[in-house]
Amino acid sequence: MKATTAEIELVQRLSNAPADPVALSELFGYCYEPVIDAIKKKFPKGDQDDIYEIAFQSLDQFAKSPQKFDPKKNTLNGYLTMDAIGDMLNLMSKNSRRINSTSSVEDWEVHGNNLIGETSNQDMEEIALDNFDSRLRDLFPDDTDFEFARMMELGIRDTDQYAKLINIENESIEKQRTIIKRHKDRIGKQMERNNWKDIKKKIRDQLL
Amino acid sequence: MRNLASHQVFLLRRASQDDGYLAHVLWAYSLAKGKDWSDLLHELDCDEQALIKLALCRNFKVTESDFAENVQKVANFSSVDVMLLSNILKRSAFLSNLKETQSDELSQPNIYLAAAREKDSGADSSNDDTL
Repeated sequence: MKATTAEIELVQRLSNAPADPVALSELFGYCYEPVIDAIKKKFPKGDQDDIYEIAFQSLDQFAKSPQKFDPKKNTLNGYLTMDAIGDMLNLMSKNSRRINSTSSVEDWEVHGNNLIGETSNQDMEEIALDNFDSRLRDLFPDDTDFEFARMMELGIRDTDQYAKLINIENESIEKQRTIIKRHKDRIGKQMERNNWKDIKKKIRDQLL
Repeated sequence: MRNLASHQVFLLRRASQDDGYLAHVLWAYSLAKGKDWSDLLHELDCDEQALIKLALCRNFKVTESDFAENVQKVANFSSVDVMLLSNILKRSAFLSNLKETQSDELSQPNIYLAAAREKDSGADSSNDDTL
């Protein structure tokens, strides 16, 4: 269980119908500032009002459908932060697309430096990578499974690397292959069950 | 509102635009009385932090059967006087009802006018028939 007892209890009170009127305010008191701080950390040059608005919407939407939260996978702040960072990425991606479609020199001079300067492609890649890791971590809370899945995603085929990771390098090559295949099948199924392809596509789209 | 951080000022403003929050009712009440948040602080006899906590509570109607229970809950939570808060929420609901009634009444003459025009045109056509 990753969420604290207090978080689980708060989510429960938000889920009740009609919701406890105080629970919404408690959610803001507990999560709004940490979510803002996390977004600011990821997007140090992000517009302050955009950050406040995205954090507000993240909490507001969550309060309307708190059932989506799985306390076993994440803390409440972690979940809301991830959601808000995804929205911030979408917003920046939209801004970036707007700039790319700006054709006149005047428009470029007025908006170009500001918007491009806020988030470079490199920043976007770094953020997308963080997002990728954090989503994969949600699926595989176990460190070894996470690293194994990451290696699979990187297209690593070298048996030695997998064998070292799961401490079977002293076994015969044949046995190593069998065990690694079993691991790969299990992890692959877990990814498939959780629509990993769709998650990956969304993260990739944010980069385009 | 000097003692509020910038994100809290944003929250107060943002929540007042959304009828899901008590901030919406409190702000509507202040506007109707030509007041602002600072005046509301005096009226509720509370500080800024209490106002923020109160404003971010879920909105509920005075007509709801558990109004008394809810108002007590949010008053305890935000440390404001339950009687003062209850009074403001009821007056705000009254003002809102009054506005709705006024807008209904304002639309009434148009209905009468349309009916009168219809009657006139009906009378004209009957006159035409007689000609």
